[in-house]
Amino acid sequence: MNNDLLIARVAGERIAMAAVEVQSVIELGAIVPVPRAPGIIAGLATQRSRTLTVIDVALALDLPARPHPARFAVVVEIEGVGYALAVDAVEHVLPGEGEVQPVKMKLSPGWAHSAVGMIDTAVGTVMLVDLTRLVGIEPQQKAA
Amino acid sequence: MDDLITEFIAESREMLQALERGLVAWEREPEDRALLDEIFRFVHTVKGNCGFFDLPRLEALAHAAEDALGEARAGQRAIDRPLVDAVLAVIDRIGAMIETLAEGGQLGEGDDSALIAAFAAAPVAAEPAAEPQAAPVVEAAPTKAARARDPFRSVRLPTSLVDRVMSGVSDMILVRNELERQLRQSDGDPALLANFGRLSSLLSELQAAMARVRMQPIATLLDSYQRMIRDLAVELGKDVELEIESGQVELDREMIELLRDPLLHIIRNAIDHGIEAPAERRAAGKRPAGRLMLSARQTGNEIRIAILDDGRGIDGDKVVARAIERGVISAEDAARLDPAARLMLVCEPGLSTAAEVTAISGRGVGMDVVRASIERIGGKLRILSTPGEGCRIMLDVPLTLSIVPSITVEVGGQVFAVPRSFVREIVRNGRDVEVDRIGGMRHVRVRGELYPCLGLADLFGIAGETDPDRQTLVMLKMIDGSVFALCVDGIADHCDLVIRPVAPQVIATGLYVGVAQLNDGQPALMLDLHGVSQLGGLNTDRQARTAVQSEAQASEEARDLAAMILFAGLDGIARAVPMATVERLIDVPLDDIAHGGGFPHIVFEEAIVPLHGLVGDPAGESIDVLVLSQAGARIAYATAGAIDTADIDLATVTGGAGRRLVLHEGRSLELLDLATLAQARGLVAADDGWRRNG
Repeated sequence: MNNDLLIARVAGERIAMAAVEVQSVIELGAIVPVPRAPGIIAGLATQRSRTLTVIDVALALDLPARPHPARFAVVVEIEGVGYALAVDAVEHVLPGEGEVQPVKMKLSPGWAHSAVGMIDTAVGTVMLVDLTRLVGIEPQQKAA
Repeated sequence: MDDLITEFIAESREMLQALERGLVAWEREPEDRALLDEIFRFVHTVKGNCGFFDLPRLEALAHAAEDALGEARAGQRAIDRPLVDAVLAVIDRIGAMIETLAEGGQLGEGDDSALIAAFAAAPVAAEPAAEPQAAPVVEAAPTKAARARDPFRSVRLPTSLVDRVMSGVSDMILVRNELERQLRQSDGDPALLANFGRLSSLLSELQAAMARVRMQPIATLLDSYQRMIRDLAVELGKDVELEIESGQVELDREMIELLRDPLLHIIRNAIDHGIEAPAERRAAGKRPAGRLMLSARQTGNEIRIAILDDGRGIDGDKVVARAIERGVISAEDAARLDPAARLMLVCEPGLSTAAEVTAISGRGVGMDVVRASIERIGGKLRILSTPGEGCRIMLDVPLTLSIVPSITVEVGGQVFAVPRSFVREIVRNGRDVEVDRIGGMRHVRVRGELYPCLGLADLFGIAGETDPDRQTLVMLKMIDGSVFALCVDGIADHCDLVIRPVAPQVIATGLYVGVAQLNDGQPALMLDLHGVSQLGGLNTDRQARTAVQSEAQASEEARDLAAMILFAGLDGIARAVPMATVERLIDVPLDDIAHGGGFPHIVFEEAIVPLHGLVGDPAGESIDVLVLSQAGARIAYATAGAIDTADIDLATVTGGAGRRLVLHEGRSLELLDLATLAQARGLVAADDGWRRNG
């Protein structure tokens, strides 16, 4: 089984995503904001005739806000919807080494929501995130 | 050989499909020669083909039916119910066998002798009534059947492929637009421009053709019920005359699939509960055969599907009585409902007026689901009925889920789309428009009529045009008949937009229905006008009980109303809480209320929810608790029961940020302020709809 990981950098931290779930990496152009949408939705971007929902990954993980918007995005499809996960940089695609280790420390709510566990790679130990939970419908949206 | 059998299966399926309408029509008019011939030709073709493929069971069946129909054609045999039943049974069996073959299965050993024997049991015609007519009279029905028989070549394609081709065409159009811009900037060679123009118009044609690929005549849907209607009528011992009138109406394939089940349910209800047994009909002075009519008509970009029967109708009084008995509505509220609203109560969950629950329908899980499915696709359901004379159910559904004639509006440089069907007119602000503030809300007076006005820039927190003379008002007519003005910077375009689904997190805002790509490739969100009007504090609620009111009534009423739940607290004080914030009403055993951590709380859906309103020691074993949620904060509120609903006039809200009161039927109620309560617990409630409501 392919255990390649895509390593991205967000607000100074490295995160890992399962590479099989990634469709492409794009450079973000203009983002059309979605008024009144939850904060993690940075807006909409297009990839040819496809509209992608841009997720502010840093915000989704409770990382400090960046002074400038993210330049790159990892394109994934979750439940038939295309998302662009805005990150500062995409660094590597590497195989994971060994098993995913459960997280033993107490994480901030953003991390705790999306983290699957820690995994060793050639560039060090990184946090593997679950993409569905990363973009998933946040509890904040239950309000009518 | 494989090719041949595939061809045979495809041909048989096509014929079977074409026969659907013919079979039922033939039963009603057995003397119709054209229909008889058509059915005969089908069994004959099947029989002929079977010889090649060594399919003895299929051949024997077809042969038996062919013989019997041959005799009927020659006038040697009466066309009566046993014959019709036997022929229908054989055709069903043939259909099933063909599907088995299509799936690559074997027919195996089976016993069809009972079906074949049924033909022998049918009596031979003795009376001259069944004499063959030398020149059969060709009337309207046979012409329809003849049209259905026209050779129609078709291919089956997976929808995913169609979607891929469609998005390919959309991509090409975007590239074309880009190219057009570049060509316009350069001093293009005229020959090049001419060729580009041709390419451009060809692409537009291609796009239009692709849009049609997704459409399907609604007749295919309505016709598909024929057999079910016939079988159900026979089963229930009723005589049903079916009329289908669908004209050339076409609908999005996806839409047709979404309508299939709701329509099926309505039709079943009409036959089961609506149309009476022949004896009862005679006693009521009606024709013994009940009439069921399915019709579809296009008006603008809506399709109206009507299901009409001349049965016993729906008795509004009975519906109301049942609704009160089931606690769906209070007696006082019921007394205020107009006749149409009383009938709409059948769409409330858990209500069925069928005296007897039958296997066909009447389990009370029907019409609410039907209404919900229709509303989910942007449609509307209405019921008209006169007891004793029948019932008419009308469904107004949009033509397609994907292509919407729209206007695009601009606010602070951002473009949004509005479905054109809602737009009544577009008015330049500032000139013929007077602006008033009434009850804290901006209103505009257009040609003497007063309308509430919502500024899209304010609602969305966008910095838009502030000079009224440069603003534009889009007058929007909502489904309930009310009109409001949406104030924008300007109109960008009129265009047909392909609306694509948007992420669920975006849908959850309730403000958007989808996203479209504009000619320049930029995405534009299509507004959910209902959600936008609610965000602006207008009451066009279609889910709440107010939706039960008729159109006329709803549009006459003032719109500064909010649906609220009224209840008494444990301290005896009457309170009101907006319906929109109520997530659930639960019954909590007193033992389950915990006090750890310094505040009373309950565990609800695996989360700790602080419980407010707990005063003294409540009597009994359990209390009713309202679970409220707003902007991510969830709290529970203890009640002493007596829960009711009402529309509260927001103009009556008094008091400051702390405790506020509203007026309801001459009594004051405390408006439960979730934001304040949540903050008291250190929970942060975002500032949005809640405070505006207060």
